[in-house]
Amino acid sequence: MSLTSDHAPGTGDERLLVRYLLEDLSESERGRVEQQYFADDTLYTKLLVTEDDLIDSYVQGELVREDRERFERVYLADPRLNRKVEANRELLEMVGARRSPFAAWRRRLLPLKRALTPGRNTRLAYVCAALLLFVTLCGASGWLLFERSRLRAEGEQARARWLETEGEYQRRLAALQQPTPAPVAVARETPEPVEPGARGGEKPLGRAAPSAGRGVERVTTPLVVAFALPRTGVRAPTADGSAPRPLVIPRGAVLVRLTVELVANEYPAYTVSLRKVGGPVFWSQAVPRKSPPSAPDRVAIDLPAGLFQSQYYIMQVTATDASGEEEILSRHQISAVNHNPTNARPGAPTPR
Amino acid sequence: MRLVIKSDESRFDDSTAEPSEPPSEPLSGAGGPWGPFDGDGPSVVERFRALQSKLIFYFERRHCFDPEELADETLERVMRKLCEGTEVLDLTHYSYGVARNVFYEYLRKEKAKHKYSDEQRRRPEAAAGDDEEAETRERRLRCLEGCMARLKERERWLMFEYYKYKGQRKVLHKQKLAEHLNISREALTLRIFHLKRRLKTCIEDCLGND
Repeated sequence: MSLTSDHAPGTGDERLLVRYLLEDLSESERGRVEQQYFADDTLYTKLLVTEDDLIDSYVQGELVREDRERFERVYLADPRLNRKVEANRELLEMVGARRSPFAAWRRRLLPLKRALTPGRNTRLAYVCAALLLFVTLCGASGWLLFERSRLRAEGEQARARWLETEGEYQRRLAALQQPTPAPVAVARETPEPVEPGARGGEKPLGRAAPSAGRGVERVTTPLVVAFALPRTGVRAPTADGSAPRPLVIPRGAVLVRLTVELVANEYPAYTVSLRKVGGPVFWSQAVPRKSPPSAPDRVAIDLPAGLFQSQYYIMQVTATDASGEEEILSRHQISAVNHNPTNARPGAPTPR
Repeated sequence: MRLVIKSDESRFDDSTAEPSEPPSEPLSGAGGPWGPFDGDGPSVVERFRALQSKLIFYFERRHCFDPEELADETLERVMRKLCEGTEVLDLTHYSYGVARNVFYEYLRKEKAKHKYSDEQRRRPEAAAGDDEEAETRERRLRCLEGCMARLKERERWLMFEYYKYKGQRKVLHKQKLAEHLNISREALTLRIFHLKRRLKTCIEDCLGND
C-alpha cells in the first residue's frame, strides 16, 4: 500500500483515505497512512479535504449504507468529531437557507423549531405543542360553528325562496283554474221553486243553491261563459301566432257566448261555423248585420256548453254579399277546456 | 545521544507493540540549534504549526480526550530532545514515533480498554444542559452568519455555487464550476476547504469574543 502526493491522487487513494477516516483499515495499514501523511504535507491536506468532503456527504445523506453506518460509529460517538459534523451541518444549512426564498422566514422560525425539537427543552416543547393544539382546536371549532350558522342561514333563505316560489305557482295555478275570461254570472230570480223534471214549467238554466226555505232563490252558478276572440285574419288562427288562450267552461255553465270582432263590416250578413280541427263543420249560424256598414261591429253567437269537448276547435266567420257570394273573413282556433262533463255531448246534433 | 528515525514502514506494523522510546542510532543529520526547523523553505513557525496540526489530527483520529494537550506533550518531548542536541534527520517521522509513544502512555494512563471511556463519550453539550446548548447553537449560528457576511462577494458566490446541488448533479456542477474558474476539480475542492477553514476559525474567534 502506498500513498503518493507526487501526482494527483486517484480514486484508489481517495478510497483508501476514506477507509482510514472510517477506521476500516487494519492497524498496520492505518499506521502506514499516518506515517505518510506525517511526512507529506500535500497528502495531509488531501486527507483533511477528504474528511471535509466525507462529512458533507454524510450531512447531505449521500453515503452508502455501509459507509454511513461506519461514519456514525466513528464520528457521532466521539464528541470532538461530532462537533465537526455539526459545524459542517450548520454551514450547509446556512448556505441552503441563504439560497432559499424562504430563508428569512426559516431563520425567524428557527428558535421555535429548536424549542419544539424533542429532547431539548421538553417542558417548553410540551407547552408549545399544547398551545398549538388548543389554538388549532379553537380555530377548527370556530370555523365549524361559523359554517354551521352560514349553512343554516342559507337553508332558511332557500326555504323562504321555495315557499315564495310555491306560492307564486299556487297563485298561477289558481289563476289558470279560473275561467278565462271570467265567467259572467247571471243571477236569476225564480218566484217559485221548480221541482226537477216537472213538466210544463220553465226549467231553470242554473243550478239551485241550497236555500233555507221557500221563497226567492238566487242562482249564483254562472250560466253563460263569454269569450271574446281577437281580430285575426284568415291564415293565422290566433292574433299573434301564439297558442290560443283556453276557453275554460266551468262546471254548471249552460251557454258559451263567443264574440268575434269583425275585420270589415260591409256585408249584409255573416255566417259563423264551428268544426273540430281536421273535422267537418258541426255547427253554423247566420248572423245579420246590426250596425251601419262604416261602424265597427261584432258578431256574437251563443252555443250550448255541452257542445264543446276539451279539445281544439276552429271557428270561421264567413260573409255573404248582396249577390250571394261567400267570403271567409277570419278563422279562430279555440282550445276548449270543459269542466262540465255531464253537459259534454260529443254526439250533439248539429243545428245547421 | 543521537536519534535516528527509520523510514522503514515495517516498524509500525505491529499494532500491539508496547510503547517504546524512539530508537536511537548514531546518525549525522541537520545542524543548527533547531535541527530540522532550520534552513530554507517555510518559516519555522509555519513548519511547527503544520506539525502541530498533524499531531492534533492524529490524536483526534485516535479518539483521545484532549488532542491538543497530547500534541503539546509530543512537541515538548521533541523539542527537549532537539535542545539536548539530538540530531534528527526526519523530524515529522521522529515526531510520529514520539506521538505513538505518547498515545500508548495515554492509553495506559486512562486504562481504557476501548477507544475512550463512557464519560468521554458523553456529549459535553448534553452535560451542559438543553438551554445552554440551544444558546450556544444560537450563538454559533449568529457568528456563522457574521463570518459569512465577512467573506468577499465572490467567495460567498463560490460557496453557494459549490453546495448548490446534491447527488449526481452535484458532481457535474462542481466539474462545470471548476471549468468556469479554469482550475482543476481538486483545486476547487481545496479552495472550498480553505474557505470553510477560514469560516470555522472566524466562528471560533467570534465565540471567544462573544
